[in-house]
Amino acid sequence: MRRGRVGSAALVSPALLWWAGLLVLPVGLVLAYSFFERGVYGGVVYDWTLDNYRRAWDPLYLGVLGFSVRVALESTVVSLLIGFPVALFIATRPARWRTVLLVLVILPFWTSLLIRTYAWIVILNDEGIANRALRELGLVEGSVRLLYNEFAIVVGMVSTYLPLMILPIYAALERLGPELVEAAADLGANAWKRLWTVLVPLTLPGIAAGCIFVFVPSLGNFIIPDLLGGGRRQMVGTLVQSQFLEARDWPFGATLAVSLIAMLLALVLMQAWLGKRSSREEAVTRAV
Amino acid sequence: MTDVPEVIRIEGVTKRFGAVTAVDDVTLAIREGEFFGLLGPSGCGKTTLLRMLAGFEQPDAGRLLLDGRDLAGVKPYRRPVNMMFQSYALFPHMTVERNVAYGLRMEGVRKREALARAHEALELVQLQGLAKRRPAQLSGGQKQRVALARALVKRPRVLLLDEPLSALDRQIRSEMQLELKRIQHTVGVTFVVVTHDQEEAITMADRIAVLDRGRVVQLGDPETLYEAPASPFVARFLGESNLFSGTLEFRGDEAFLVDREARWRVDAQAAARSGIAPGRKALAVVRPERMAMVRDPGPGAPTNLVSGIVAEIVYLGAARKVVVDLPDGSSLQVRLESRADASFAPGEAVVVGWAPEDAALVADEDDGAAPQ
Amino acid sequence: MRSRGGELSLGALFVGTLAFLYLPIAVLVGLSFNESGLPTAWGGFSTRWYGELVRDEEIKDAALATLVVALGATTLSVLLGTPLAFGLDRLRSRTLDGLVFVPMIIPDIVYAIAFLSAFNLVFTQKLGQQLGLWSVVLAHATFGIAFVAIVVATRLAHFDHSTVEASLDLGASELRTFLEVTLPQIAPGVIAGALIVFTLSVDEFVIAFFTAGIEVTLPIKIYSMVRFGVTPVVNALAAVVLGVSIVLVLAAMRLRGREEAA
Repeated sequence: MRRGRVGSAALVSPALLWWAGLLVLPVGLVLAYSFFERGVYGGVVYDWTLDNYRRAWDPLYLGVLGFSVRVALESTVVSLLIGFPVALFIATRPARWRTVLLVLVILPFWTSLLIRTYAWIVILNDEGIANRALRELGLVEGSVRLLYNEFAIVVGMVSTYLPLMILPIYAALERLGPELVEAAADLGANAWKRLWTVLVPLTLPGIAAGCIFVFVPSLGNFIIPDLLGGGRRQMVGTLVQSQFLEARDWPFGATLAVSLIAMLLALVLMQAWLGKRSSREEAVTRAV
Repeated sequence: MTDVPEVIRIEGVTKRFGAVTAVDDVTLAIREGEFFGLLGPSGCGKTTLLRMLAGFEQPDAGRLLLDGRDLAGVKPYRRPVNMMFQSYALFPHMTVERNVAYGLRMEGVRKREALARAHEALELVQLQGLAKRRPAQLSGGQKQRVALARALVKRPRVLLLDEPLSALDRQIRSEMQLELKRIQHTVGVTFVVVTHDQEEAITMADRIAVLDRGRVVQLGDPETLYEAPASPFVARFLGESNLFSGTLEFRGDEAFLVDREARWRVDAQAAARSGIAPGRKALAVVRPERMAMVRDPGPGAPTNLVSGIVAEIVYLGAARKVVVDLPDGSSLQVRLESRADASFAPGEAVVVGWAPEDAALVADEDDGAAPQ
Repeated sequence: MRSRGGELSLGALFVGTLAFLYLPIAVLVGLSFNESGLPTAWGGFSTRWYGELVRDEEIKDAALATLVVALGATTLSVLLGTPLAFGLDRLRSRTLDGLVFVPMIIPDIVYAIAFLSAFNLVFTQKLGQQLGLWSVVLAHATFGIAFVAIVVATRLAHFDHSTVEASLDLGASELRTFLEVTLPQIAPGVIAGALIVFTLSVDEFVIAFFTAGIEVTLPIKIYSMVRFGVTPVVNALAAVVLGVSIVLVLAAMRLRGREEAA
């Protein structure tokens, strides 16, 4: 008994109207602000200008953008290098273990990002347990600078978004089913060859999805560079925040945000264009 | 039989889904207390017809009458008709007894009485001990019985069964065929069963309507459908058959199907009754068990003979199925009783024959598109 | 079987990864019971910081504010997201299905400035209404709707629609069918979605920071404690918040896990 489209429209329209008012309009406003001028005392003067976009090409800001992309890329690569073998390990366990192992991997993702990031400050600072462990092992004398640099930011990103790399790859491996088992069973001298000729190509959609999932939120993250970069290294997220709340230059902050959205949109469209949307949805659905 | 009152009358009912006509001008009457089968391949419109009776689909044309009352616009929950779903559609969040009592509670029957009647219904399907279980804890056959009890407990005028046995494995399926028949006999409710399985229909139904592409192609009791199929489609769909084609010719008081290479003698009276005009193409349908097979046709051999080579012999227990390849590349099926001569071997040259009175005659017009 | 060496190194990597993922949580929980309160020296086991946590009025107020926001956002998300899921299930439009994922991938900093811009323009400038907890509720519900819709839609995908027809067939009206057959089967999905939104809202910092006006939620409180002078109380607070999140998420996962078993 499928009732008409009228009934279905009545079901979806409240949520869609909500998003029209509280998502499309606000983001549209940000887009509009990016073309206006900044007022003398903050605020927005409604005069059309492209100055903000010209200013975004200043090497200072391009540098921030470039650094953001670099950190996001590094985080993605590290996550992939850890995530693929971990997903492979889980997928080759007996069925009753897989769910438990998967839950173990996902669980930290659902805890407070702010708190976990704060924990990394405790771990990585000059007198933190990381440095003490290195000293105990006799690897260093004194202390190494682990905090407030690129390394710390990448550590924070990977520890946050690694589960988002593991999930889609695991889903892709699991879908291989018996083929995977056979491939794994035959993994003898040819282990590497099989990995590169069978598993990696067959799970490429999952790998691509995982890379997008890690890259996208890393690029626009605010908390991690803010706390672990210690204000020394800016990323787009922290720059947008400082333009809005500190410099009170909303139009320029909006411009940076629009640039960020444009980059993310390009990535997501590319992903959709590759036709792997289903695997993305599956992975997100599995994550929750 | 005609004095048995009708429960359901389907008058010129048509149902389209977009460009597809699922049910095409069907007219049928279903009698009080009978076990009625709607048989056909998938996509023939049988399930759509059933769903229209249940009230889940509305006909685009024609009328559905229940006890003479037009069902147009009557909601599913106001029809004295219940359905057993192919997937059983048991409520997973309710126990077996609450599933069965559900329909009674919706009628406003008090909880205690509803449960008591539910237990009676469960007894009928021999599931007394499982009342407190959840559907997830039942086997396929048990789920099926719960679904049956749930539909029957409401004492419907008509019980609709959508492919009731398709989800069961072979062993339980043949058991349940007889069980359904027994239960129908006990409760005396009219059953309308949809199936694509000809054996199931033949075993259970009193009368069968064979559907093809939305139309009723033949209506009758199982024996008539098997022995006197009205079309090549029915002949092929119900059981196995050998088809011999040719143009119908009468010579004196004898009748023949004449082909370029062969001439088959057919029963002249049956040919006259069939209404096929002389000069038209026709098919003689001969069931494998009516075929004879010999090494050497002696004086007692059947009238129509054809030579071939034994290609394959399949032992079936009660009988042997023999596939005989003919020179023109086609093949015939012969069914021999197990006790009959078992000395044939693959590769052997044999002569296969049939008698005119063992063939049913059907017109060959619509042959082209009929599915196997 | 796979080669032993490969198997072992995969296993070691897996254990190492778990250690990496849980290290921050373990460190904070351990620290919260450290008498000295310092990450550098173990001063013995103590629940002293939890005692101070309970006595801290500002944290209590922040916790209450967070609870109000999370309950509000969760309620709105369920009320709008559940019908959305039913509509998506019926319409079967790939475009619409894809659209629901958009609110989930927008970076929180973009949400934050978009809400701040829009709320400032409409409420502060035009209506003279100061931002507060209510604006955080509106903001959190905006992504919460998507989470509820997706979780419920997954549940609906596993839902046997013929049970609805069976109920109608057995004499139940549309409304009774919804209440007695559809809702009980979908409820675990709705509850799981609600738990997830609640958890996300309790933990959310960036958007709240921009849209809460002068109000302080727990994450805002934690952020300021971390940024401007760490007191050991923050460790106890962090451990409590982590514990609550883990319990809620495990409950949500359990509810969602059942659908595969059914």
